[in-house]
Amino acid sequence: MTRDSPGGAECLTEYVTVVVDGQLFGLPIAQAQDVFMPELLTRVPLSGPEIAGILNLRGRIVTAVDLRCRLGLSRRQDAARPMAVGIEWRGESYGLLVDAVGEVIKLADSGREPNPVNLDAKFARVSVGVHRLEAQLMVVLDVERVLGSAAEPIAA
Amino acid sequence: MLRLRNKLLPLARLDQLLGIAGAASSEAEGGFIVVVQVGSQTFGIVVDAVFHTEEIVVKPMSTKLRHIPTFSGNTILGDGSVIMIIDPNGIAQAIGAGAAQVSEPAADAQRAESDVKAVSLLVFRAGSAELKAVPLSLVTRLEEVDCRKIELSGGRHLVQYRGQLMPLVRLKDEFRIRTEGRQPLLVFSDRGRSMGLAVDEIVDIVEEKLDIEVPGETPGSLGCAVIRGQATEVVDVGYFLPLAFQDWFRRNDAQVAGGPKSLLLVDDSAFFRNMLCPVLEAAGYEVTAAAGAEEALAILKSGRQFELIVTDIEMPGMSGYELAEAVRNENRAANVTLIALSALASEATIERGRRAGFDNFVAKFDRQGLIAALKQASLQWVEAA
Repeated sequence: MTRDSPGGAECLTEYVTVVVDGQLFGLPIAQAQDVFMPELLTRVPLSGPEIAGILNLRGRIVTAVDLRCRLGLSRRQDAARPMAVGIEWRGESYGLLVDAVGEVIKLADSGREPNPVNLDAKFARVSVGVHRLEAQLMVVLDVERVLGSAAEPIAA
Repeated sequence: MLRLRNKLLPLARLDQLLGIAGAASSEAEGGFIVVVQVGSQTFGIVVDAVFHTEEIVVKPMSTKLRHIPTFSGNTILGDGSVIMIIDPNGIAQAIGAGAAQVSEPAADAQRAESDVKAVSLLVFRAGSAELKAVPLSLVTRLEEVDCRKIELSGGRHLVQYRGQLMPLVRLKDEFRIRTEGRQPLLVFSDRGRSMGLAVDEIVDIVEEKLDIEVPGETPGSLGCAVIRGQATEVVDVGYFLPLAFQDWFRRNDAQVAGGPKSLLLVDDSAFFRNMLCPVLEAAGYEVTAAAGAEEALAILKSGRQFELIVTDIEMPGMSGYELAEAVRNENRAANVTLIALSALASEATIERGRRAGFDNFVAKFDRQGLIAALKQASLQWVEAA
């Protein structure tokens, strides 16, 4: 949520943080619907590699997109259960599968920097900038880039 | 390839089409074949198992998945799981042009002619080794229920089915409803009510010209016909429906306003006359049946007045078209509402029917459509009055 802080003109954005392969990402709260544990995932044969399957979330059919596969990372260990962030995008429901969901943090927009040149290219593809937090770098996810460019079928 | 009912049937393995075939499955011999017809092309889809039938609402696939031609949509089942809906057109495409060439044009053309009166019949066994049949168009669904779910209440067998209590009906009192395993049922549904006819075994679905050669002597039997070369008893579903619900045919929305209307039903097939008469009478019409156009004209010439004439088109001798023209040329009956019944409701036949003077054209097995057409006709009278 972007809004003015009570103190002055500084704009703050709330992010829900997620971790994929040890890297911290932030997704603007405005773009996230909810966080859930994906259960009873139905795999979809012939779909793109990043499609983990479809599932029933409170009566709605949600397409689960695995952020690991989207980023070209290795598959999750079978024992590790993913978490999902629910996203409404172009009128459809998606669940972005991540390794873990962190917390909700509020950051000043002024602290956001463009993607540094040394940022891993696979992260840069889905990001619109970074925040330097105390201990680590948070890559700001852009839903349009995560889901949009993958909307076309990926030629096998 | 499979030879089924003397036709070669191209087969496609669903696991291979979906790219999920494991190493083991290529040798597996079990499984089922789902026979699908897309346009003129018939083929079989090999699957591992068949669970049951379910009525679903197909939801469109996500835009990320819509490019996959094998699926037409997805849905949420009653147990909350999500499934993909297979698109037979997509499968047909995947099987490719090879399958299309298998069709046997000469044989097909020949069959089309003899198919004029062909009816899809569901052949089953119940209570004995004899074959029995009902028109498939009357059957809403085939089900198998777990015998533990069959309850006895008030001397009748009931099963909880899709949120309702569905009575089970037996063809004969001697027939024993199974107590263990699964009980196959033919489910007949009409306006929110269902009944299950308990059977031993569903044998086949056949397309056959239905000629009842020996009329039935016991209630519940329309008679015997030769189906696939075997004498088969044709069951009168109309007899069993009121056993489940006494008022099956007498429910309000089928009633005709303003007293009974007289109706002349013309069909050369005893089977259809027997099937439609009770339905029409229950809907509030005074039905007179005629076994042909000549007989119908004779009845009209005798001075009987009818508000409605429902006639079959394909009849030996004088056709339904000729009957309609003759009726329209007859002054006394010029105002009658004429409804055509035909197994072949193509645009051309409908147009020909209109020119012959029919007010409406209803597909032969569309009972609801017929009642709706009749109701529409009675509304027009009210407006005209």
